[in-house]
Amino acid sequence: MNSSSFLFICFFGFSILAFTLKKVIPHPFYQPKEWPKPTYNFKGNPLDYEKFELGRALFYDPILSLDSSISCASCHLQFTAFAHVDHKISHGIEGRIGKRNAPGLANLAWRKLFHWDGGVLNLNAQAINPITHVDEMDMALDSLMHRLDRSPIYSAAFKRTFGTDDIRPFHLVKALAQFTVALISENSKYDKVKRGEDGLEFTDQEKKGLSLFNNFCSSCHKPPFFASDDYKSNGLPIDTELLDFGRMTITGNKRDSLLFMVPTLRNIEYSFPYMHDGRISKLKDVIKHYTLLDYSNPLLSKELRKNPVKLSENEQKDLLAFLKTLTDKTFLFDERFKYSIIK
Amino acid sequence: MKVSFYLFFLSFVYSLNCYGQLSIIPTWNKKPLELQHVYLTQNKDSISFSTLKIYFSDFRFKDKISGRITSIDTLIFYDLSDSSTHSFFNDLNLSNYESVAFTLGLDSSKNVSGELENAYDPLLGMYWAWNTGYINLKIMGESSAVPTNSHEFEFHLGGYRFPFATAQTIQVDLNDQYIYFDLEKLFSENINLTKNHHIMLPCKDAFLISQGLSTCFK
Repeated sequence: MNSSSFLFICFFGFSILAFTLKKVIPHPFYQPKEWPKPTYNFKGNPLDYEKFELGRALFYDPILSLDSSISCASCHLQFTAFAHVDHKISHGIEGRIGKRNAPGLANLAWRKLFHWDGGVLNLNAQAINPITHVDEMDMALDSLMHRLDRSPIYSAAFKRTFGTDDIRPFHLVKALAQFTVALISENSKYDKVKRGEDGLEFTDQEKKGLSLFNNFCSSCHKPPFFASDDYKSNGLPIDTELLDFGRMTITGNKRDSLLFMVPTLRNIEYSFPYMHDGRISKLKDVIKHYTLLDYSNPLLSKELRKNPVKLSENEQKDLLAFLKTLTDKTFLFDERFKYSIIK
Repeated sequence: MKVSFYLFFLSFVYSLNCYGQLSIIPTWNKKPLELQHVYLTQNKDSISFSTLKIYFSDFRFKDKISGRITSIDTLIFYDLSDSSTHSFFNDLNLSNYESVAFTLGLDSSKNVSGELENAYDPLLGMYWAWNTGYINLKIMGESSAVPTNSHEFEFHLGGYRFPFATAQTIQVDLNDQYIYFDLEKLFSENINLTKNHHIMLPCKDAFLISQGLSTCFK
């Protein structure tokens, strides 16, 4: 074999190797052990690392909003559990105020319903709501498709990942779902203690808090997600200015008045303020809210009426200590979920 | 006389080619409806239409001889402003069938499927982002009967949850390839524009108007 043939074979071999290596970069989604199967339809949107990176770039890009001023990340910041920290009510373009506090994003592949009122039934479709909502991004889908088509970066990226020259809303929302479906939080102290990792154990106070949690909270905030797809009243009265009736807005059923999503308590330490309209700013005051409820209120969830939350001052501190064990800093600072652009 | 000639002409064309596509023809006063054309209601109010979009699904054709049912469960999007949506089922020999039943709108499984491609594309203007689901029938326009400054009416009829499930089963005889949708009948018998001119979400009024749709097709 002469030297030129040898060089050609080496070059050819390295090209194949490089191509293969590029193909095997894993999508960040995984199935945690002992968790149920996800509800997300992966067959309709098979995991693809390049689509994940496209979705990640779109998540952080204000190109999705009418005046290119806000992105998904404007209201869903990673280091605050992808919630809108420090704002009671999330705001859209031009400072427009909506009615609700943007909830945290985690473990979405296991949710059946989305938004505080459960009005959206799958993760793909979820993104259309904030993009088009007049108080959020206020971006018409047809205009957005033209904008993405005109962008050399995005038109090339959609061509590369979806093989399309005609970007449609389903391409956009599938790319975004490739990113949001990967936001898995299961590396908190609670998870590690449960798995027996790193020799970690709960403190005595955390153990007491866990016991209280199991007694008073877990029937709605169900592990391992510390959430549920149920819609409940936790006794918050109507805000007479916002007039947000929650689930009833979707079903038209008066029995659903003032019912709201049971949100996840994972990373709750960092996702303040709390409740659907952010009306409680401190976690200790959320716990106090439950101890001060009028349990004769017939609209209250049956779980609360059946088992009123009675906690001493010290028990409230114990419960707070346990809730802080649900903080997952691996998730909050995961490099794979940080700001990124399409290269 | 003109009307009779028009219908005779359509039937004649059909008899020459019985393999024709199934076509939807909205009508007013027995003539094909035109967008932006000003018509008169039976109460002598002016009325014009700017938008007419409809979803059809779950077609069941009944064979003339055997009575066997041929089902085609696909979602069809109709837009009066886009002639490419007016006819469908190119490969079907319609002369074999005596009648067709279909759903005007989408059943609950289609509403919650999460499908956003082709006929389900949100760009078609029939998708409700705030409350996952689709509008079955969108009719918009203006009428002097509407007691507002703009005189505009907007009917976004949809919803699949009890008690306001709005999809309707409709059956028509297949005398030719055309299915006629009589909007004059809909607006004279089912819609009072003076009282009701704005429906944008699943509700009792959407349900009641939708219930009257089956008699408007022939």
